[in-house]
Amino acid sequence: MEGGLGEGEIEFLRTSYREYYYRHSSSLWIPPRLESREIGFLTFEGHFKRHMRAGTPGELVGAVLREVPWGIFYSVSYYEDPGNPDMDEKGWLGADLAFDIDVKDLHPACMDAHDFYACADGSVRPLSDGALPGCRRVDWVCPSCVEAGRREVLRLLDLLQRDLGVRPDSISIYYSGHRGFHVHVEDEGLRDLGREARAQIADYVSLSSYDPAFFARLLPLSEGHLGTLVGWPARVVEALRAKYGVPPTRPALEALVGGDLRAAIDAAVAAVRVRIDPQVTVDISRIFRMPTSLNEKTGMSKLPCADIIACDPLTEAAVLSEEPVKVEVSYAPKLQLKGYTYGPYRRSTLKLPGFVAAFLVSKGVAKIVKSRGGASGP
Amino acid sequence: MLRVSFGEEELGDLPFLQEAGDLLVRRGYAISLSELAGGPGEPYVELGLRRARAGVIDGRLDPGILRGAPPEHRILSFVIAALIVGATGNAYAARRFALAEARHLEGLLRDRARANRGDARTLVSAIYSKVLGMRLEPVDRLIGAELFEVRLGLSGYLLLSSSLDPSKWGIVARVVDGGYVYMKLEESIRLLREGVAKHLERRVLSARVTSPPEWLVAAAAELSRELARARPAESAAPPASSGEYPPCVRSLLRRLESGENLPHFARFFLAAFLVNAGVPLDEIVAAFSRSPDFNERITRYQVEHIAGARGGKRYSVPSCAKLEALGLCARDATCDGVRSPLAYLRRRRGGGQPRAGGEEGGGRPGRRGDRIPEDEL
Ligand SMILES: [Zn+2]
Repeated sequence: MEGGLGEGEIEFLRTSYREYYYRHSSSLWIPPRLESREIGFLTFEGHFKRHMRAGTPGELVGAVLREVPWGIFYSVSYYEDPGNPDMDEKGWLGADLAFDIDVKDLHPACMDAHDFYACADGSVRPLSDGALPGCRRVDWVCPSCVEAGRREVLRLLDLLQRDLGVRPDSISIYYSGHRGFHVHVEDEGLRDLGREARAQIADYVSLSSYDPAFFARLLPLSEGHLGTLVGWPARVVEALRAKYGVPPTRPALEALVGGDLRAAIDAAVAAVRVRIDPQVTVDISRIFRMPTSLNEKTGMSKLPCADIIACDPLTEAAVLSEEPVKVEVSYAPKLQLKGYTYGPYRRSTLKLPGFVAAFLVSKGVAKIVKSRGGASGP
Repeated sequence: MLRVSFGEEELGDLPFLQEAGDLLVRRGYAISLSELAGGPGEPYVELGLRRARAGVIDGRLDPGILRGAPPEHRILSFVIAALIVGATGNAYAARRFALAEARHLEGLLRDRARANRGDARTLVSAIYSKVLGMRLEPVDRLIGAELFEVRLGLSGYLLLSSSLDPSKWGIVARVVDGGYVYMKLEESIRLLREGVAKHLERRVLSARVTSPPEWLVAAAAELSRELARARPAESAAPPASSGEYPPCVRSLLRRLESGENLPHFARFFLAAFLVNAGVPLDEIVAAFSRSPDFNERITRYQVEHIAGARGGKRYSVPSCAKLEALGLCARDATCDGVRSPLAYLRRRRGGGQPRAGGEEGGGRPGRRGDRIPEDEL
């Protein structure tokens, strides 16, 4: 299977999506300042329709119900003329500050265990065997992935609030519906920042171009002054303290690492940097998946996490119907959704709840088995 | 709002403040232009002419010009200089004038900081507040091994530092806490220069008068002529319209053409790209000559350095990923998956394909003779 979906699978997904959007037509999340946002739809035919606009929530919901898109997106930027296809003529007015945390970049140990290659001849290769022509990588999701993402989000929140002074009530957190989290900041003071300024913020968060000399200059000689440090240097000091078990003043550190201060600082920085995708933060012409819309990679929703600690994405984002659907699964690692464990499966034909079937079908590892009546669902 | 009262001598150095205008009124000077009709011959008008010329042509204001003049004449000379520059209608001239004035102010404030730090800090804070509408707060805070004297809100800091060298001014190289960036006084003065320059530029450009007196029109015309002579030939610069160049490069060239001061990394990237694209050094220097803070000697030195002509290594062109991370990528459909700006160029030059015609998109330049239109000058 190449990952391209068959007609029956697309029909099943389209029906499931339609039902979800009808059921939630009055509770879909609507972007603030909707009339100034660019809207984009990914269609089930695989086309990206960009540069649309919706004047009212009713217009947007109407278009969603009419077209039943595979993916729904909105711009982080506000424009005078969001429907203008020429980026330069949209009339940029400002943008939310957005962060994307992709679990793939965090390399949790579970990833090597559950991600795999699905090959054209129907065989399956573990990730460690490496890529081959004719094989495509299938990314899986498990509770450990979610936990890795959640930890990173918490680190980002701490930094945004303590260092950058962002008010908690201007921060929104979302589970992406696949294997990541999005953090959006709507702050009057940050709205006008251009690309260069956003690149500065992304750089601060990810510490990608930090200067060890700057840190070394700040590092105090005496233990009493260590507590005056703030910002990322304070976090690096904590990491050094945890690693070496002593207060990392400059003399103490130099004595410990035998002159190679640089390597010690680098290692500590690697432990405290927040791994975001910087391009997402910088690129203000980007469109983002709309919260509460369905993610075409899984059929799960992009879930607002009002409380990041309590939020349970693999339960709450599995929003499609529970109605059983008969599927033929080629291969699937263990899948944990809504508190139940499904699989692992290997060449099995069985009935699974709609949201599980949708996940497997979206991943290109299952086909719908048509019932005698020809309908793909109840 | 900070409450500061300025002495008259002090106001002579801060001619762009509301308080400076008030002083003129108290002294019985009319600041409406029609009443300035005294015209040439008045010492402050002569001073204004010299001041405009110093900023626009020399790119710097020699403090000697103003030395000894009474504060109200120093203020009036600024007003008149700004009107003359505004009357040229030339954005490049306005930027150059604004930059020179902002540099002049920076020099005065640095002197002040050497003489009396506390005083200087109060004054600098007052200018932040009155001119930029930003709060620069005095603090005396020991953070680690360093003592910081002032702090500025994050968004204001990012706004003011956006065109400075990120390796020094990027927030990752700063102490940031609670939404504030902590600085030494001198750093806040350097940053103020950026803000004041932008502020003055806007003000000069909007300072058009409906029926300017003849001497002012004549002075503006003379200034325009002189600037046109002094500015290196634009026609030598690589054309921004060249379809050989990726959109990021074209966009930077356009920004340069319009007289914008490019951020540090943008300049480096552009120079490295043009060097690697085989554009002659003179043409590259000419491209930068449109930058309001252009200094030919320094620019030439830097470009030669990047080109490896000074014995060092030749700098390579940053990748698309790096440009994206720095907010300089302007990817469009023509990029079609290239990973570096140079790859775009190579693809466009088509490795030995005939240079003329035939390429889709029609953006084919191949027309090195096709020069950028001259701007208003
Ligand atoms: Zn996992």
